Amino acid sequence: MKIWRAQKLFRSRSALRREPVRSMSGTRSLLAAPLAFLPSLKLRPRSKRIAGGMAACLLLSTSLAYPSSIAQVAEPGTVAAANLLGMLAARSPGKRPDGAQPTKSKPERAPLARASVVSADQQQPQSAAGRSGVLPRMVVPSPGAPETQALPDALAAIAVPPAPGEAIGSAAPLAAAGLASSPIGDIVLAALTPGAGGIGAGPGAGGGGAGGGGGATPPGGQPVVVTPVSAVPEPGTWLTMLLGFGLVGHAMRRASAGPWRRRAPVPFDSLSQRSDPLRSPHG
Amino acid sequence: MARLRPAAWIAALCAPLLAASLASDLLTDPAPTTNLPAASRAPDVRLVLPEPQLLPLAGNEAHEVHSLLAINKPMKFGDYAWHDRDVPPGPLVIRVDLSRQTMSVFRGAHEIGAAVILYGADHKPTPPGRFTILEKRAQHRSNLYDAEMPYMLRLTNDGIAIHASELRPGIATNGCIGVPLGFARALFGVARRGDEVVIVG
Repeated sequence: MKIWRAQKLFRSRSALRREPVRSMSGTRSLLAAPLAFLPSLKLRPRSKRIAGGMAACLLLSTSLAYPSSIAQVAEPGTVAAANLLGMLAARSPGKRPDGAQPTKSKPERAPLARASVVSADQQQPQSAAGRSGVLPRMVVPSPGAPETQALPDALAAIAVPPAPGEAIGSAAPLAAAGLASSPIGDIVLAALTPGAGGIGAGPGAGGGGAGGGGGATPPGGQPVVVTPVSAVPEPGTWLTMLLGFGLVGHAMRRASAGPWRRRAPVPFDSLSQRSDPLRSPHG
Repeated sequence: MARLRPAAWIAALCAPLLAASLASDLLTDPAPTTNLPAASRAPDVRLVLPEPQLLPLAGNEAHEVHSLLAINKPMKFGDYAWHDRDVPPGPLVIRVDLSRQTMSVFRGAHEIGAAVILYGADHKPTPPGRFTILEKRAQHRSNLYDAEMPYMLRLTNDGIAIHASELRPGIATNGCIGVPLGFARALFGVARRGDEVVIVG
């Protein structure tokens, strides 16, 4: 019907060139036909034509679409009246028995912020290097323990008692080196007391403390609590590093930039004779 | 009059198209199956309900369902069904049924996937309620439990997620929802951030 009407319209359009008046009236009556049952509708003829055409199209589409939707309800995939929840329950493997346990449990995490401080009496020999632990364990010798107990004989033989002033100064670098380079080594911290200080760094697996000098531990010394150095830099360190990189980059940029970037102060008299490559001769 | 005649022509030519689309929209919405091609309506793939039914979700909400995947027997652990080809686009709704240990994935009113799931143990329960997918990661490792969580769809910020898992009867999770690997991969392919997940107890 649609095709027929389009042909009709086209024909009437071609006829329009020959006989305008008669063909227009034919088109008018055709398009306004669906509204013929509403004689009281006061509309302009053109509006009536448009409205009639739309109504005809609506009727046409309705007649085309309606039978197909009815036909699809009767397709073979359709099931009879079924309870949705019942169908979902039919596929279920059933309820879980009580007491089901997860297969993965929370593992014991190695303490990162705490370093266990043990006495040298309980210190494990160096063969305990295989124990699990990321950060080294700091060992503070007990006051009465001789130092050679904590250090191997070979290291004790080469240990030279340093001057009291050096001992305190070398404590932090050695501790830092031992923490950073020996992941599982023990660090033996001697008590740092003024006048007789000394530090012995145990030769752990990382060997960070191999160069440490041994010092005599005085009786009654206080243990020193050293916070371990984190492997990740602090935010302030990051900022400083970024600032430094920025400064280096700026300096390199300045150095490699062309001569027009550096504006040397010029005397006022020579301003008119200055040759600037970026400036146009007229500017 | 002669000046306005082209407008009338355009209106007359466009009106059929407009009316046809309008009529098809109006008429196809109540009929559940009009958008599904014949392959998806095969009875061994999909069961089309004679009339739409409401599937209860969290609270008073319900989801209108027009068709379910044809799974006629109880599924075993590790079983899943996925058939989303030819299903028209629509919002994705994932419904997790803890007591039945199953999960259904709906696109619009049609179910496109179903699987047996694992859920949280009694001391680490999976929270029921309505969630949205917060994050998608194809490869993820749990930093809490040191476990692989492939094709993770994060639901909460404290670690509840849908992810692939090994399924055996009688075991539980730490609160996550474990699904078979193939199902997790397919779900990961269609799910987007912000999609709705409803967990019913």
